[in-house]
Amino acid sequence: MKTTSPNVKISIRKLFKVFGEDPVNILPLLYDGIDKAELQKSSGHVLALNNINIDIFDGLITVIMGLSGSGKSTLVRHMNRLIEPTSGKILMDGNDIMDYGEYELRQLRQNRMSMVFQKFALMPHQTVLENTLMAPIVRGENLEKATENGLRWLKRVDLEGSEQAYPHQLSGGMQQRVGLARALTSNAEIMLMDEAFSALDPLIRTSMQDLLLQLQQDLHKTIIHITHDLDEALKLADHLVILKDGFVVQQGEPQHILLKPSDPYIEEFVSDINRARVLKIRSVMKKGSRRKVSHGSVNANISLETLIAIAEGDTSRSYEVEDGGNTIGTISMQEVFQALVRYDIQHK
Amino acid sequence: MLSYENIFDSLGLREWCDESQANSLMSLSQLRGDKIEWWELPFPSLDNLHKACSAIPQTRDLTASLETGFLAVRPSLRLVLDPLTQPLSWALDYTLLFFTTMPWWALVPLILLVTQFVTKSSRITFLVAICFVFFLFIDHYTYAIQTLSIIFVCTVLCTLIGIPIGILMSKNDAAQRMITPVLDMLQTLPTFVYLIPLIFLFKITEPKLYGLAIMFYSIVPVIRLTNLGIRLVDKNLIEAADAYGMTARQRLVNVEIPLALPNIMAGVNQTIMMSLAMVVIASLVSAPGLGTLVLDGINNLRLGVGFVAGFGIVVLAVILDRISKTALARIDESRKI
Repeated sequence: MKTTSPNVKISIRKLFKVFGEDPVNILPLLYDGIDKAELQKSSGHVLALNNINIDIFDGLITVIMGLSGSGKSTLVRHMNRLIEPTSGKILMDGNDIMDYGEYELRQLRQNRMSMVFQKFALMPHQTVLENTLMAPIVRGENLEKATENGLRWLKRVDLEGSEQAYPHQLSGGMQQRVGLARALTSNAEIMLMDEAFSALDPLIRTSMQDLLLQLQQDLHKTIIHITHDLDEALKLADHLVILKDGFVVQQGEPQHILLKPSDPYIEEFVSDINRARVLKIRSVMKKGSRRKVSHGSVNANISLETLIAIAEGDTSRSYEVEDGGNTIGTISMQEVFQALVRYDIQHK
Repeated sequence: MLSYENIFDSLGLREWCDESQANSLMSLSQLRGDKIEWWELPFPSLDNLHKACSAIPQTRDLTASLETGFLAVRPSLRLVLDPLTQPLSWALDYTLLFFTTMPWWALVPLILLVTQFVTKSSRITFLVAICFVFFLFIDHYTYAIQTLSIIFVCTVLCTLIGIPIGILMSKNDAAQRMITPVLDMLQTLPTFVYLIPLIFLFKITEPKLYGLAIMFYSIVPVIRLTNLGIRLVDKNLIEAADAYGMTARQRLVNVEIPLALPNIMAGVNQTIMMSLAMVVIASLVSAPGLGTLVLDGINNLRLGVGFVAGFGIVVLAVILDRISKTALARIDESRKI
């Protein structure tokens, strides 16, 4: 799916968000490129989002990553207008949702978008099943059919048997799986996930990430996932957007960002990453090269770590790289080890 | 008060002052022409100024004019308020009639059934049974039922009126700013003061007179706690409701009211207790029930009568509080977060 260029589902253009008493009059300053600290000092306004231009691709997982205060949660709330921008366009399939009236906006939220929250936000007075059926109930659908659908999703997220439990009787991981089932039952094409896994402990977080990837293989939803965890971002992302202080520092394919960070901030970010595990052969190989190789062929989507294991640590070997039966390039173990050197050290 | 007279004289107002003095009496000191020293000079209040210049009204004229003013608007006020409040009279009359004519062997089991249903606690039901046997045994049963009937009507009406007002306050900051001072006033007014304008407006034998007094006093907590309860609903849940496209109405019915319910019920509990407090005072304006016995005890110095009736009120207070608190705890239990 990475070889064909996917359609843009949501595109955000020149989006600004300022919190404060009189945000609209602050805008001219922003077009002049005033920075966050300066703005806060001179006028007391807080710049949350600064000229955001991003594309969200249909059927892919877009991860928006940033540290706390970088504006990532604010940004995701603009996509269903839980927060109104100070200025800018949010185009969904070409229509600016900023032009939507109350009714259209509600239709958008009911039918086309679902959301998973950091703090789960399950209704404590409703059972797991009732929580799962939130979207169909809001839409006023036939309950019998909706229940069937809801039970199917609960089963899919391994919550069979807990349908009649109340949220407070479940563990955090189970509660978030209810949150996920609720979002899936809505059948919306777009799923917003606001730090959905951040409140979970590491093991459960990993299993939730795996669950999401599994689901995505069948569903191909447009997922916008917010996280502050780079490992999680690299694991899930088809498209990665890195935010810092309300502006986009770099966006693109995660492998590309890892190999060619555009900014010292990102270099610092990626320096702690286990590159062998995250980098894929596809990103390191020599494309279309007709070099002679010493050994057989390997799949383009395995990680460098796996390749090193296949080569038994022998640095003199080289392999053909194949993808879907076609040979798309070659890779030598020397290149593998070069790619493992951290970017900042490589370019000193 | 010759000193103030001098001031009026020097301003040349003497003639205007004396216009209406034809029949005014002169005080002894005026007759004697006493001079007073400057340190004896009283504050220039209405009464003191009146002594110096009779064209200035006395303080009692102020209260008297308030009274005449009130009496003047009374017919038109009654014209509007009488039909508006008449249903309250009917509700009180018929409820009283219904519960007092119902035989004890039907009503007491009914009350016990309701208690068991709302509390799901046989301990509380047993307590209520004991209390009613006690009332029956000492021949205070009818009085207790009258008191309970009034509380029942007033609490139901307070809840029906108070919860929508509370919801309005929680949704609208301007409404909250306007209603809060009114609630503060209703809560701080001494209970007897409520009765004064009501006595002017309605005949003292009308049930709506005490009904209104009780409701004004006891509606405050249910309004306040509904407002508070809805404002305290977890913002994350409101956000989730919005993110899934709920309408304001769906959000209110499915999220806000159910989650505010423990607070609303705490308000209803307070309203019941305050109705009970007021129904005793309302016996001054013909509210039937245990309060009349307390009043009798005070008026005629019949210590025993007053004491037993007072004890009966305490018993009612205890069972009403137990029942509503247990019902509230049951809701809390099922809504743990």
